[in-house]
Amino acid sequence: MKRRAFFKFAAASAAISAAQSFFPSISFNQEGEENSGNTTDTESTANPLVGDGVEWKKTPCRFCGVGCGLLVAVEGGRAVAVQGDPASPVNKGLCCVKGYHSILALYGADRLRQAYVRKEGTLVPVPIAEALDIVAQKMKETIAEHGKDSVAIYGSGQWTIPDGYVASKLMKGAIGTNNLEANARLCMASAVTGFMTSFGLDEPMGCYEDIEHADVFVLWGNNMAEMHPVLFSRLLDQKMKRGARIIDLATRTTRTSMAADKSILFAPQTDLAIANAICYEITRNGWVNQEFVANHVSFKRGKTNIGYGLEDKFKFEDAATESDFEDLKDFLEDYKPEKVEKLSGVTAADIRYMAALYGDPGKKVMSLWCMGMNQHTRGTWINNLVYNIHLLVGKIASPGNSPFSLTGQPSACGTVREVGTLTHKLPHGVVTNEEDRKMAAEIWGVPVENIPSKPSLHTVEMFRALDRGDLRFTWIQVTNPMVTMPKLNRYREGILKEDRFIVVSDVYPTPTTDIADVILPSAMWIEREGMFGNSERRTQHFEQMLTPPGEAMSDTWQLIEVARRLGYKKLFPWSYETHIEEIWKEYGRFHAGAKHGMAPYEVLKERPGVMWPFVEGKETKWRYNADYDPAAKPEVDGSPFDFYGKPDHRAWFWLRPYEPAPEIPDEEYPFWLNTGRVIEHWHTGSMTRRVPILHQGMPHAYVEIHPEDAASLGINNGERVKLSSPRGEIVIPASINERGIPAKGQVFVPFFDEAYLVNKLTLDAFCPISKQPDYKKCAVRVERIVA
Amino acid sequence: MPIMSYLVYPVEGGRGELMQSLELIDGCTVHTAKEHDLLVLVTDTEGVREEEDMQRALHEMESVAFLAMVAGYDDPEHQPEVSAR
Repeated sequence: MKRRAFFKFAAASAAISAAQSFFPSISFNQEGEENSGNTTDTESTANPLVGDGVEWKKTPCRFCGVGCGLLVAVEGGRAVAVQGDPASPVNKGLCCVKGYHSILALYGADRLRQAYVRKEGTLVPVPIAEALDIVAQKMKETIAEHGKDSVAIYGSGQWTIPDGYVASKLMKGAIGTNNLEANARLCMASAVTGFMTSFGLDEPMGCYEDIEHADVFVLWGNNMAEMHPVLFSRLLDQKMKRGARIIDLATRTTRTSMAADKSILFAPQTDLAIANAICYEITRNGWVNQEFVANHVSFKRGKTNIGYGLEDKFKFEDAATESDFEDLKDFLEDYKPEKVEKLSGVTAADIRYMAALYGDPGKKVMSLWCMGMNQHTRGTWINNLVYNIHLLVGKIASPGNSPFSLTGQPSACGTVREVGTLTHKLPHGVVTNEEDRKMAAEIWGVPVENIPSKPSLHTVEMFRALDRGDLRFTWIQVTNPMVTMPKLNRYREGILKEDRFIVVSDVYPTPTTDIADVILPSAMWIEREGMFGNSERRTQHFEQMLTPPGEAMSDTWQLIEVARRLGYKKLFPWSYETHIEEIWKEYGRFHAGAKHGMAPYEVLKERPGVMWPFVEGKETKWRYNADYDPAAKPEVDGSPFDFYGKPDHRAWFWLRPYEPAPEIPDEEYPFWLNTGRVIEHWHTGSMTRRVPILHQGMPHAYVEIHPEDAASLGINNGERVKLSSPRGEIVIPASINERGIPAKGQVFVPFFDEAYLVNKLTLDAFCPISKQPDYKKCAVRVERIVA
Repeated sequence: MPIMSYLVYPVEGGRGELMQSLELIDGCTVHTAKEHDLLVLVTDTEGVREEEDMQRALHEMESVAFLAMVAGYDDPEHQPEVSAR
């Protein structure tokens, strides 16, 4: 069979398989109707995995947190084709535009193939062994001169699980500092603190299969059509098949709004008040599931007026005080729909409409969210508040009733949250807990005294410490903070100061490699073996399919090489051939048991992902529900629920008020600025902008302006405008009535384009509980540039 | 030579119009389902520019309610170089 014909057969067959996973009884005409006159016999494509010299191998997608299963065709040492894996329960054979083009991101012309070291101000190529020597030597010197808390590693939710595990063992177990963070602090820390404060354990209780059971989907500030497109197609499928309803509750009109049954726009920050107003209506109308609440919910109040983290070395610790249902009713009196309408711009009728959907005992409801709720100065609170709605009506931890926090990166859950690559975390538990430190010390084979008991620097504070000089050495892997840090001008100037030594491991040149003292070329994705963990607790293994270019090396092995040069060979004894398997087995010891057991390595290799807790050969789809979760031991007759993450075996309902954003538009800076992503580009575009069709499809960033605001400012579509905030300014083309439309008085800029660094404008305010910055709200001025 | 496949759902009552629209585009092969509106579409274009045109045309079709990509082939060796910096 000719190659072109083969790939057409394979493509058709993959689509038919995908269709059959959605509609099991569907059958297709055997011959395709091709307008060029040729016909296609699809029966002969029954096995698309067979072809001349082509081998198909499974992997999770490189990009977002949905974790689609892909099949990659390898021929002659190159990846040549991609199809959605029909065996993957995540995407059932589908694939989005980034996933399909993912293999092209391996082959950009300026791929980093060798190491560079800055000598007399210029980056010069050196053998990677020499660069690794310099990294280890500089780490040693810095620790000797300034102490072990003067060095740090800053990683990513794109780290594989072994990358993060080795980084944690090196920093916390071997060197003895908690200066380990990851960019997932910027994207889902509020989701973690939301889970921890409400349930005592991280990550969703449900799974993507909830989509097939839910009657209503409420999207809280979540442009799923662009950010999680394959998952959104599963929502649309349910809308078409079963009439499920999609409610888009957002601050901006997007492709998601267009596809939704109802689009509801709210003023920035007022989601806090809207969630409470929904609870008010549920309570007022008698829709509370009294039995569930009485048996499974505890009411708590936390601190209020908690600040915004704008000052260096900001400290905050929340404290729970007891509350009850009567206290809740009093608290909710402040959130009557008519009052919240004035604050939020959402009509009282729409608030009541949403409350009725949640409150209808005959409807199963999923709430879905991502950055809109997490990148929020009250991110933990709004996570708590959405859980509150589900708890009040007892719609949780059962098929189709599911508050579901989505992640943005392929292993934000698997690596950052589960391995615990954050300053306060360990692979099991937290550094402040003596038992957790003892467990880590025993598994790692280090004295327990090695592991410091106090968290040190969260991400924003880490970059502030670099600016202040408290931190002298930072190794950045798989992330691009010179594009992504808020209030970027301060942190860029800080990192460039004398006596700061920066190592960057990446696959392409970026604004962050531009400021590096050492650049290490990384093996990308399927050029090495690894695992990712997605939003639904699914761990997915991928094997090494390709040889990395030049001297490129996996981030895991770079860390091991440096650890050995630092004298820790005994802690990192693994052979190159088997190190991923051995790391997985060691790491698995941290999670043994019914609450978080991980699948064995051999099982991961076989299957298109396995959900944890993996108990006696079975995945746990719904946690805290004894019908599905072996760890749940219900104490109430007739109820399957056991929220065992909390000491009282109850979910905690937090009374959290509305509090305003730290910076609100005024006369000088009259617009809200919101930032985010577009479907074509992954994060800062360092990979997807090397893919021709993605780059050409979305070649540069822009500022979306409401048409009436544009008209009043005399701005036409495509004209360059100046955006400024108290922290910086950029000049950027205007986009009017194109991809998305912000509400009046708001603008939106995607952050994928290093030529338009929107984070020069953003504010480094963060949620005091999660320490996650708010990229969705600050005040800016918009000016037409006169030619 | 990008080759891609999609699942395509027409808007309600729009199956005929969708089929007609696809017939007008070079490089489209359609597999129709028996007793179901869902179509499988395979596209075959000559290069990046043609592929862009194809995707634009598909996304602009008013008779399309839902378009989901499934698979594709595009020879990495024949990609034009782009400057991302």
